[in-house]
Amino acid sequence: MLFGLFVVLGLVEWQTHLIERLIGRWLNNHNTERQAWGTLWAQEEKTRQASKQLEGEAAMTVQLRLEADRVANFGELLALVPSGESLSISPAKFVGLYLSLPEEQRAEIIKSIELLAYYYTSDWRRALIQRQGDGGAALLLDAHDNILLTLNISPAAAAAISGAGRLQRGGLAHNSAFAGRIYLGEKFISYLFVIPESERNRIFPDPTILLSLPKPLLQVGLAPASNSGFAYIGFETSGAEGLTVISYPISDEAFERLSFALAWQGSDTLFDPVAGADEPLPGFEQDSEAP
Amino acid sequence: MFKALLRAVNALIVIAILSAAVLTLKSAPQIPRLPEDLRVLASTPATEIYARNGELIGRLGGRQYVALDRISPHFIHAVLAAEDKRFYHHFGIDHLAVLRALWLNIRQGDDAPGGSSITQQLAKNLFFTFKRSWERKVLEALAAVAIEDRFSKEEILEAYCNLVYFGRFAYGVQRAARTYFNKSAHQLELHEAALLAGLPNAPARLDPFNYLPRARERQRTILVRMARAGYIQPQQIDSLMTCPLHITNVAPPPERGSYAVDATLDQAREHIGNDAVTYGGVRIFTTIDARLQRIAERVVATGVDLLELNLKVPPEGDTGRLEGGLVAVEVATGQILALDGGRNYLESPYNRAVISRRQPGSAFKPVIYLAALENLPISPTSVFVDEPVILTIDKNRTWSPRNYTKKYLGSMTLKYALEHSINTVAAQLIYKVGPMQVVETARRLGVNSALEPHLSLALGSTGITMVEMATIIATIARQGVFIDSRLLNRIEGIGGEPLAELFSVGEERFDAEIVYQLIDMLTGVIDEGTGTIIRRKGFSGVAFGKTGTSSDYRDSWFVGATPTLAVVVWVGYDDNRQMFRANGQGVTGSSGAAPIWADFIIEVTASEPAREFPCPRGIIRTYVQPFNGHISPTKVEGYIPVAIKP
Repeated sequence: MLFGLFVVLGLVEWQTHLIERLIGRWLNNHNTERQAWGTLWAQEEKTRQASKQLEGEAAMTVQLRLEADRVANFGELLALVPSGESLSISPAKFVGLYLSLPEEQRAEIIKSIELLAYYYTSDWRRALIQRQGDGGAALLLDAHDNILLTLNISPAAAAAISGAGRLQRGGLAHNSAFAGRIYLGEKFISYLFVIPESERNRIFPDPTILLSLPKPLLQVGLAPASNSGFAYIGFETSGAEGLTVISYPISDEAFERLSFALAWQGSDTLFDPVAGADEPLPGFEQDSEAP
Repeated sequence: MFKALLRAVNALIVIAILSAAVLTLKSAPQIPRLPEDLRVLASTPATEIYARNGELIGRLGGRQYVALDRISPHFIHAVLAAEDKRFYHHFGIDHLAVLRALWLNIRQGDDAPGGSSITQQLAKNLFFTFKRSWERKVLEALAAVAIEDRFSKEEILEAYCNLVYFGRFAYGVQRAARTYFNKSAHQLELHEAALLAGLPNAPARLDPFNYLPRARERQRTILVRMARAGYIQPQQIDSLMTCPLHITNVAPPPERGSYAVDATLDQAREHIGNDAVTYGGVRIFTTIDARLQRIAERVVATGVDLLELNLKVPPEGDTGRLEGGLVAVEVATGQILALDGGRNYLESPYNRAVISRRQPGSAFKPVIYLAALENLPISPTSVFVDEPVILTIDKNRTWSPRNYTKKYLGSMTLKYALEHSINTVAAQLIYKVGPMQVVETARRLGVNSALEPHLSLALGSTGITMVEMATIIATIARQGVFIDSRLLNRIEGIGGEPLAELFSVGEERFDAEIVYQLIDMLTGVIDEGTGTIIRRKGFSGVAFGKTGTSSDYRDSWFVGATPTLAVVVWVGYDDNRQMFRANGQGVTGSSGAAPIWADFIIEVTASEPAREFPCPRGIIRTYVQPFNGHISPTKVEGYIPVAIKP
């Protein structure tokens, strides 16, 4: 009897695959409870991870390019370039940075007329900036990534302070980067005249920048080095648009010296220029050329 | 008695049913989750590789997923006949096939063929490793019935056709049809479909490019099965077997793969990681010039074919084919414009251009001469004596290098010695300058391979890669400015977002005037010395070069550059066998690699304007008597032109 039942069940299974169908349905009813493992899922996980990694890297590159658009000089730009890699900027940005250099350093990179030729008559699409020691290199590329020209950015050009400052609405007090380091503008100007010229060149090599500022210069602020690798000096002026701050990058050395001088004198004023002429600041050498 | 037997059988059946139920219940949680849609297979995007002109030259991963109605019915029939003739009648497990496999397994052991249905094979490909075990078989079978319950037969068959591996990096029938026949899956003819359907059984062993007779044998088996299944008439088999199979190696480059693409992917992996390259669907922009790459592949293939025809038939058992390779680097930028790592990528994807370290022989002499010019008070007009020399290595050892011709010519200038590749003079130079200095010079020129500071470096006894050799030559052509030779320009994400920019700038490593003297000496190699074959082949442009033959004719090199392009060609056997012509002469750099170099440079520079190597300010051009070193400012009979730094 039992054997007959087995035979019948066997025939039914052979013809209808009943057992497989039942097992298949049962497995699918519990499908979501099982783990996603195996080649297919491993591949999907790897695809997801790769996508996440690449999104992160792309976001970083885009962020770097945005930051590169905001820099005011080659030094700031080179500070942004990751070690062993390159950073792409537009020809217009490159020309802007080039024009911000003093004439002598521009000529070291390329003659203006030659750059003009590339800018207007070639298929120059972008410039790739790379670090090389204290300086850098710029590769001018066409639409197919052919290198049109390789230019050296000397350490001097990289260290030069840009003539183009960064403009911000509002006063220094509104920018937390300058917090605790805001001083009277007239004291700062006085300070520039009492220190020896060699010292002044080390701290602030291009005083002509000050000529371009709208008067009156109300306050001066110092901001320590940020992610860009540069400290800043900010000049607060007042005009038709209210208070504005124009910031320029300065070297760490300049920041240290200025901060030291200010700390020595107190937090809200620079030292007395007359007294300073007779008695040099600690760490500042007396120079016979001093006025 | 009968009742007792029946009871025993019943008991066995009950035990079997209970065991199967327990096994099922125990194994069920271990089965992987099934996807909602089998087309998830196509979700991994392909990584694409582009030449510098924007031409797509390679593709990695991804799947060219085609719907079932876009696959030739011949192929569907062939697959069903080959793999699972009762596909439409079972529910994931073919009882008869399983019983047959069990029986064969009992009789033949582990070597017996399996009885897996297409659904089981799909389950295996989707989730499991290819390790064979009973436990794995149970999981596979359970996954197969789950797949049958979840998806239609058409969906299962479509997924199988798009998933299965056909060899040659071809996953899925669409990629396979492109790889082997350069056509779409829906264009496959009956005899082609039968060949393709047989490949998944053993893709490497049946590779039609390497083992066509085996693949044809399998094709016949499939056709016989198709006839048995009623898809074709038995009398069609013979006529189908006589249909020509246009197995092609002219499939579009993205499907074909190439040495250049492989090397590019390796470099990309170093920058963004293997998973990002394999699964990220990135776009890689290479330095490869598609035109030059095609020329390189062609001249290497035809050049090596021609040379092989003239070689002595190798002894029985030596089956390896003669190989060759070429690397071309743009002098101005260090970009690799062409890279060919063998005569045929489909036959042997081993990339000799970047992996294989071969002895350069005399092609290494420019490094020796540069080290000597830089560090010794000598010039190209300095006179050395070509004679048998015995050089002391240490207290107990000496070294006596001999010339290739076994003749000695006496006094000669360095320029003449390099033009004619005189070994004894190169040995004297390395002895004077010191092997360590030569190694240091090689490093500055771009050699990363391990170099032993031995005197035998003078004769190129240490292996380096073709890419390293091209970097040496390009650095010399650049008059001492080093740029790392590379294949990558930039990598972008799938949406075009930038990931990496990989351009290099030059680094001045040698005095341009010193290097220019070397360039001038090496120009003489082509005009007057061991490389005159380049001129005899018809190249009349400005170029320098050097032949190289390793000991016992195991490697043949020609390395050289025009003012725009540094090119290195190597020919030899992978197993380091000697190369002799049918007339008994050994294959040298001049007779092996140089003709290929000439063919390449003639074709790629045909439309280029004539250029000179720029002459540094401190160099003066004069004439020298090649054997006594007497200098004349004007041309004198028997004197040769020379560039010197006063």
